[in-house]
Amino acid sequence: MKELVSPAAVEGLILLIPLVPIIGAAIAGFFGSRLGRANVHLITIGAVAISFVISVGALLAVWGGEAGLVQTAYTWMSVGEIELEVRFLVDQLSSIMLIVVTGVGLLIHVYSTGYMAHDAAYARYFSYLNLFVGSMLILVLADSLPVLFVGWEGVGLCSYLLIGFWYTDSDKAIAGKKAFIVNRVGDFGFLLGMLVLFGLLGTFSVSGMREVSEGLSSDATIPVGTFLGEWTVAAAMGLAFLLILLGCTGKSAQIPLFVWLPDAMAGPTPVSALIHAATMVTAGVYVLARLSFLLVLTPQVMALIAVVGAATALVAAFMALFQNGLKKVLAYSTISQLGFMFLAVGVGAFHAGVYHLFTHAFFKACLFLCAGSVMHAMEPGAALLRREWGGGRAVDTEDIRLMGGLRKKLPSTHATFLIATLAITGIPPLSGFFSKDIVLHAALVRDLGVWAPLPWLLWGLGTAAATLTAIYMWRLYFLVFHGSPREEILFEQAHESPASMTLPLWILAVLSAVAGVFGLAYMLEHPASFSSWLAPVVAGDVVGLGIAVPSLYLLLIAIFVALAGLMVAWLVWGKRALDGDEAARRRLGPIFRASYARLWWDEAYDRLIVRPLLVLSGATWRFLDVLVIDRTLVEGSARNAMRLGRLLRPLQSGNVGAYAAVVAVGAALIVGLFMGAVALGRAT
Amino acid sequence: MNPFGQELLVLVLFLPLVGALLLALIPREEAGIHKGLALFFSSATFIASLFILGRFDVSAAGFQESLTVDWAWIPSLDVRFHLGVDGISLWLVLLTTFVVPLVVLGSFRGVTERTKEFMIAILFLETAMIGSFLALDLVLFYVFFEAMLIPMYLLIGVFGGPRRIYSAYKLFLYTMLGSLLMLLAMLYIYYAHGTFDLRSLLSAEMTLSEQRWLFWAFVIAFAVKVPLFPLHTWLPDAHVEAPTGGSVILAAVLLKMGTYGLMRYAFPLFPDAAVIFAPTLAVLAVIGIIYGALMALAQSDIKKLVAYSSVSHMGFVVLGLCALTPAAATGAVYQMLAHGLATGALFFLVGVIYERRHTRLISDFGGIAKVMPIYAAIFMLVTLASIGLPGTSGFVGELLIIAGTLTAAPPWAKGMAALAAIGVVLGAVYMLWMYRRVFFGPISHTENRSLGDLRAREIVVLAPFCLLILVMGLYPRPFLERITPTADVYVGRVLSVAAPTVHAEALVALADGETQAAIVPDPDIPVPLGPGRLALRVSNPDLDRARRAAFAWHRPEDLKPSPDTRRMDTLERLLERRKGFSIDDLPPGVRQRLRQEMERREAPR
Repeated sequence: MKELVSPAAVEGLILLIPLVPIIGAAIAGFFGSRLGRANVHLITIGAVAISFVISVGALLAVWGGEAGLVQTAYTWMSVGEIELEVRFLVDQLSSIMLIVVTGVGLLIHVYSTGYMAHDAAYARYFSYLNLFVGSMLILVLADSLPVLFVGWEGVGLCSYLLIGFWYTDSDKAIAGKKAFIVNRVGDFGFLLGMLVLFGLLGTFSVSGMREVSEGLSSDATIPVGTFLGEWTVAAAMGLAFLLILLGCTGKSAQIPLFVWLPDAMAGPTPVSALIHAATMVTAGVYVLARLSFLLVLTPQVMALIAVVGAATALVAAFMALFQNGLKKVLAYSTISQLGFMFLAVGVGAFHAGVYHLFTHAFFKACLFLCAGSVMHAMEPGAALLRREWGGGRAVDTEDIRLMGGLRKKLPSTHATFLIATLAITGIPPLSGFFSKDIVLHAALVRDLGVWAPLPWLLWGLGTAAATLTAIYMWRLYFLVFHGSPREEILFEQAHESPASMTLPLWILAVLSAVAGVFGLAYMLEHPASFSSWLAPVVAGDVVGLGIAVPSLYLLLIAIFVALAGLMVAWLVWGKRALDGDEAARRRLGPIFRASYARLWWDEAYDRLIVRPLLVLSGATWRFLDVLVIDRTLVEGSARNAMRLGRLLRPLQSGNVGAYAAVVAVGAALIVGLFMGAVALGRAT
Repeated sequence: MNPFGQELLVLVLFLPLVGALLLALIPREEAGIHKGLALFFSSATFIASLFILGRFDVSAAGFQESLTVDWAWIPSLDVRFHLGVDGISLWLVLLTTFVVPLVVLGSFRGVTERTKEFMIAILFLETAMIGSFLALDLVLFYVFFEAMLIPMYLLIGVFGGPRRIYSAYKLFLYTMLGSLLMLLAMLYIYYAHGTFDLRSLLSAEMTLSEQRWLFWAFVIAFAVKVPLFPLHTWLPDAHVEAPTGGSVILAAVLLKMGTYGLMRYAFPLFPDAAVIFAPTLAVLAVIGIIYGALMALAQSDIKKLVAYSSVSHMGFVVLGLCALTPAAATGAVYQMLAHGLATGALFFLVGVIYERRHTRLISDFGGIAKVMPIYAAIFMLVTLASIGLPGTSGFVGELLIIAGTLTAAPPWAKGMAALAAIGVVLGAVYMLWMYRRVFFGPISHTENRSLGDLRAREIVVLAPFCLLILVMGLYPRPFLERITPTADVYVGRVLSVAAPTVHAEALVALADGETQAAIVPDPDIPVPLGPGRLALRVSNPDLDRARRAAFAWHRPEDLKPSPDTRRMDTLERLLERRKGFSIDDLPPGVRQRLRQEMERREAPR
């Protein structure tokens, strides 16, 4: 296929893609209160729209060409061997991300005009949102890792600011802080990993690394430092990617650093959809795919990534089973789905990971926005109910135990939620079916050569996670939209959201339905698939389609699993066999408790890390700084100096007689010593 | 050639002092005039210092030819009034002249009594600080270095909080301890080498044991100022008791005096001792990074928290100096500036709420973002700079230091870099924890409901900080291109001198017959050595350690023969001068092997 837009025309505009939203953020941030609401959202939406248009142009420009488009802004740092340029790269991989970020970002900006319409801090919200889009685009476009890190930290900052957007609520502010700090632990790994790569390859630039690593193989050796000698490439890259993996588990909410994402739901719902479902949390997957040409040199770490992904997919899906917050369930679902992407990346099916990222962006954003629409609908009833109940009982608009039967009140929301649920649970021919099953198939057939039973284990974990996905998603669907209402007032007051909110819902729902065509193409070995599209940039399986295509048996198992989940959910929650926590607690016992308490993961971190750290810092301060150094050494030496002075004070009494006596004794001593020495000298 | 280079330096140096003298003549009742004149003189100094920047020749490394003052001062002792500017002092002088007018402006409301004395102290302090950065003569430096202590002592002891006397004494004792050692060391240097002039001393040859003692005497003096663990406990007390303006100067400029001293004096003057003890200092620096962060976590007073964060951040600077790579050294200088901006601004910000509420306890606040939105936004930006978020000034320095340390040749450097990176995590923990409790949540104290947001004057003070934090984060090039050449000189000076001297020492030991030594191919030295660099294995463990330390830094590419590399004949001259004998006095067997080895190594070239 030929390129549809001349690359030269786009190359000069790449810089504008992240720049325009950042300018929008600055305008909305500094002048928001004077501009008025309409102008604020016109400017910020316009900024994202401009980025979207250029991004589409960029995508078309790389349509046929192999080489990426590059624009260099300026030299950031140039010190010794460290040569850092702010350079942006559009290639097949980044162009897909550009479309996802600007496209979904645009829809969510539009949606937010409805959702946040009554919020006092309207301008601040849109300013943060634009800043997020700008940072995310820097992350996506960066050609050198430190520039990518600017975007990486920028999105983390926006996430922090938006989770704690309603900062007067302490819990929300704490959730924001937690997200930042947990991510910071990951950043520690990312920063060091990036520097280790720099140490090994002598460059920070991704394209530079690609050139340098040309022809490297896992068994070759590479110098790691004067005194450390040479390591095998697999070991050296393994170290680098272990560290980078830590960073990715932070940003993409994988074991062990996923704990911040469920709390992050404290932010406004459109934020959860954009940042904590469709874009930012996929950054880890994106980075691993970006560096895939190096990652494949270290199969052991790839296996670890696959295990982390599969385990996270299952554990998070299990935790999602009995949550009562609408967004909480979706949050765990996001963690679980990101696990599928990690699994794909880990087994080297980078195209499958990116494809699942792509489809997930649509159906998960759609689900979150539906959740927002439901909560929006609950708000008037909740206000009445709060008045009725007084302060005794809190009314949570996302509590699914208070919902039911909403499909009659919210037709559009219901329909789009249903489509997205069909997609995520893997019912053909919707997109999730294809993307998830390409991942599971890859897990089974791509042997990393690390451990023989590993592929079966990964596939088993993934399939179990897929089953649970179907169960918790249909549970959500039945509890929210089916049966009779559980709280009359909430139901009565509910109303469908305005068009600014339902239009994005419909667009996303349609996209999550039709995005499966690329997967279908892959299965039919047609070139319009992610596998062939990404072939120039990611390492992976392009040829040998014979084993790359899922066999019919696997597809049947997948469909069976999805339908079984639906059946279970229908029997248990659709027919209300188990309604409410008490029933579940009685019937399911430890399973319910473990899921409900999210395996006590947070509590463990609190006891093992947070509290010991605080105790340690307090105790060290009191013991070492205050007691040992200050009281004992510093003040002690001052005290001793004073004591010495007091001791010596009588010597300077001013009494002339005493002085004379001392002089006399001293003289006598000296004379005596002298004479003794002379006598001794004579003797020898 | 640049005319008026001398005059410019003298002007920048003494303009604040002239202001201080003028203020002394005006009656104390005229507080307004005192404030105005102090602001005028400090601003004029800043503008004058911009001309130094304008004249700075980017292409020249080391001291600038056109910006030098070299006058006789005390001829009988050969003490000279010698000033000079290089890529390190340039920025520290500018940091000083930038901060002082803002401190003066920021203290307009905070200082209500003894305005005259306050302003005089600040201006006097400014001259002393600039003098310390410009001096190139040990006596001159010592005079300025000690002169800083007097106004600082008064600022804390007179204008400070309730425990001001205790804190002022502590500051005084700590600093005196160090500077007395340094004074002794300086006197020794004069008697042994006959000069106080920094540039002449750089070419003086000192034995290893001489360097060892002198190095530590200087290092302790500077480590107190940095402050390096475990000499840091004066800092939190001094900060808590100091008035806002004093804290800002202390954090932004005075602490830099310690790292500047290490970089200007301790390392280049005693390079052999420096390469031996750099690992020790690096360990202390990394302890400081983590320990300071942990201590910050335990504080309930915002000012104390920020003070401990300084211990952590300055640890990065010392680590950067110890790594002895151009990137790390450049990063260290950059981090000094970045820390000066971020922490200076933080102390201003703490002062703002202290002026309004007369408390600094974290628990006395909560939810004040609601009533002070502009204040909260600026505080957030500065917090992010302190955490080292990319795009702010803090990131550039930390990245260069960690990258430079990680790529340094000695094996310990990699571990230190990795441990230092933990400080990056902890920094976010204590800063965001404090920020959350002060700004977010519901307003927990009713008296905070009526807090006023920033006044215009306060915004004027803080805006330059914010602007520079962003500029230095996004476009560091103008700064870096002036720092890097000088940082290269620093690294080159320490590393190029170190190895040969250590070897001369080894040869001397060999000649003395003190130790059993042999010239053997040394497997620990992995590279073809440059001319004159001999692989000696000495059984004296101390000496051997020194030798290994010196070589630990040299990577293959560093050891390419160059005209500057000291050659064998230099070693011979050293031997002659120090011990009074030539290489021919060595035992014949040793001498022969030495020559053979030398020829073998030089032959291919």
